[in-house]
Amino acid sequence: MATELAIRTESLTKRFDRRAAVNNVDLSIEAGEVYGLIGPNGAGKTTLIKMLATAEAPSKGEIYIGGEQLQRTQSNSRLKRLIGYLPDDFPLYDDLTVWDYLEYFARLYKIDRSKRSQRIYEVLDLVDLGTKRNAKIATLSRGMKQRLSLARTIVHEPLLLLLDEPVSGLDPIARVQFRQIIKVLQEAGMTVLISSHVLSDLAELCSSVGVMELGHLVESCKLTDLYKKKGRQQILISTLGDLDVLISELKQHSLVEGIEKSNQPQEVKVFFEGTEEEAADLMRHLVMINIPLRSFYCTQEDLETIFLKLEHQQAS
Amino acid sequence: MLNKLIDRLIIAGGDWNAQLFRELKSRLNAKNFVVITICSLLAQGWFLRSALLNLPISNVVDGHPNYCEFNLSPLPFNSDNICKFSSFGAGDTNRHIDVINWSKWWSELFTGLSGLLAVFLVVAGVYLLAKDWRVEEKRGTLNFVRLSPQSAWDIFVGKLLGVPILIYLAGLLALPFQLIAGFYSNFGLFHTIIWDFWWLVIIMSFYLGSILLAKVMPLILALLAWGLQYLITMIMMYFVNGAIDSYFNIVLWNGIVSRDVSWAIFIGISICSLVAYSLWGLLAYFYNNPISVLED
Repeated sequence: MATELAIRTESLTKRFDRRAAVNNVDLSIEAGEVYGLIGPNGAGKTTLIKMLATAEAPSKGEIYIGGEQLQRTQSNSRLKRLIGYLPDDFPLYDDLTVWDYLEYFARLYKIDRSKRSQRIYEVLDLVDLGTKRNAKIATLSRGMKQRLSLARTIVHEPLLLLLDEPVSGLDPIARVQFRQIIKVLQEAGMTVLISSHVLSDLAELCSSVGVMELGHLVESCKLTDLYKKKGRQQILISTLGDLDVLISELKQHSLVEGIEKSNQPQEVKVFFEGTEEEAADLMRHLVMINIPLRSFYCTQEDLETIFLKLEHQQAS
Repeated sequence: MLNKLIDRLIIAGGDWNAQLFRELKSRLNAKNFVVITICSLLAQGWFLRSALLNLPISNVVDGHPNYCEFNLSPLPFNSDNICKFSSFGAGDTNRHIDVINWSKWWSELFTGLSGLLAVFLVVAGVYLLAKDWRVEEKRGTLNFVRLSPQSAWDIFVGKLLGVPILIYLAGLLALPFQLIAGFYSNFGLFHTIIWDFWWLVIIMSFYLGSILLAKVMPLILALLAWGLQYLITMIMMYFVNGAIDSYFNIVLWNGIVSRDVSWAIFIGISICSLVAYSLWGLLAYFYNNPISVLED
């Protein structure tokens, strides 16, 4: 049985004058996934998300949301109720209170009167703004405003959440809070497309990633597949003895690709080609030749390192 | 009490139109309600006082007092109508008498009040709507509204009714006064209501135009453009006033609409409705097709 797709695009293109901001993008995102969109500035991420959110009309190509085609000449009222879009600047109405703002959007999305208050309480609880419900928006901090914007984005219970740089400008605590909320939403069954330059956040949140470059989607796969395909296995090894002895011993091992000195004292980062079993053999060997190992930790290259290795071109 | 009443009004308005809920929430409160009510009543009082001061109740030595007319009608007259200080022989009740032409007084009161209301509604409403639209576009808040399943019609109706709500309130409070003036003038209640309806259409076309212009040019230019359009409308109104005058047997409109003020107003309503409809179509197009810019 084929997996249900939350988003599918066919040859999606957006041109501004002669420049193609998004060029022939074929994107497929399965329902329930958290999909990370990465790429350098000017790669076309925002334009792609805007088209998916119906905020921008494509120059060419088709968009399917939950299998239903977005019609360019129609209002797409039904499909709009399935989509929640949070841009990076999240403008708000400073003159309204938190509650009035959410009630306004609940009304815009035609939430039934009998369910409206309950739903607003639910989202306020989720974004931890229950105590601020009667506060004017102008009095909120940036982190609170960002959480309020997220509450506005999900108040109508969309099936697809489009988040464009949602954590830019937030402090670390606010970012952690935001990640937790996204995880809750994913558990609730929402499909999330998130664009961010904070790749460590994406690595923690996403099940799949897409890489955009000069308007093209150059990579789109499961995050685990990307690690397998592009990432190298790393082993962090520290010793209580002489580091040079450890390094010379590692250099002789056939599966060791390279060695770098770590930031930590008496520690090296080893790029290892072998499997986990072969890594275990290496550790056993080092112990047997009496190298006083303090730690031996297998890890992967992080998403940021993989992304930088791809040598993407910046749009001029 | 007043707060509860206003809250109920906002909820009722919001149940009918979501955009209206947002506009009323940020503008309609007890303080604004009281201030605008006092301002409207004071303005009406000032206007009535000015009109009353024009009546021939003070000593007039030379010339013909305002609203005094020679009358050969049979006696008796209502003593209130008699011009007390007329130079045409007030008190000579055996042959003729000067009386106050109340119809003329009410007609001038009606014309003045209607003009004042129209200027107030157009200028203040156009300013508020153009400014509101510019702010929404500049902040980007309107984009979220566009993404909602609400139609352009719903959003614009909410804007048109909600943004100038305090202006409407001031106008509504003056409406009974204007209707009474129209009723007692030669114009009559029926024509007064049609007249008001016509102005409603004119005002709506101005409002739609102000939003449209605010979309495509800076606020100050939009207001200047509408100042010009207002001037043109005033010139048009001058001719239509001629139609009203023709109703009062002063021949200015004669030969154009056969002295029938109903026809003049009907033609006016038709033209303005066409303008409003065209502006509406343009606005709906721009609303559904926002101008794009290149982004990340």
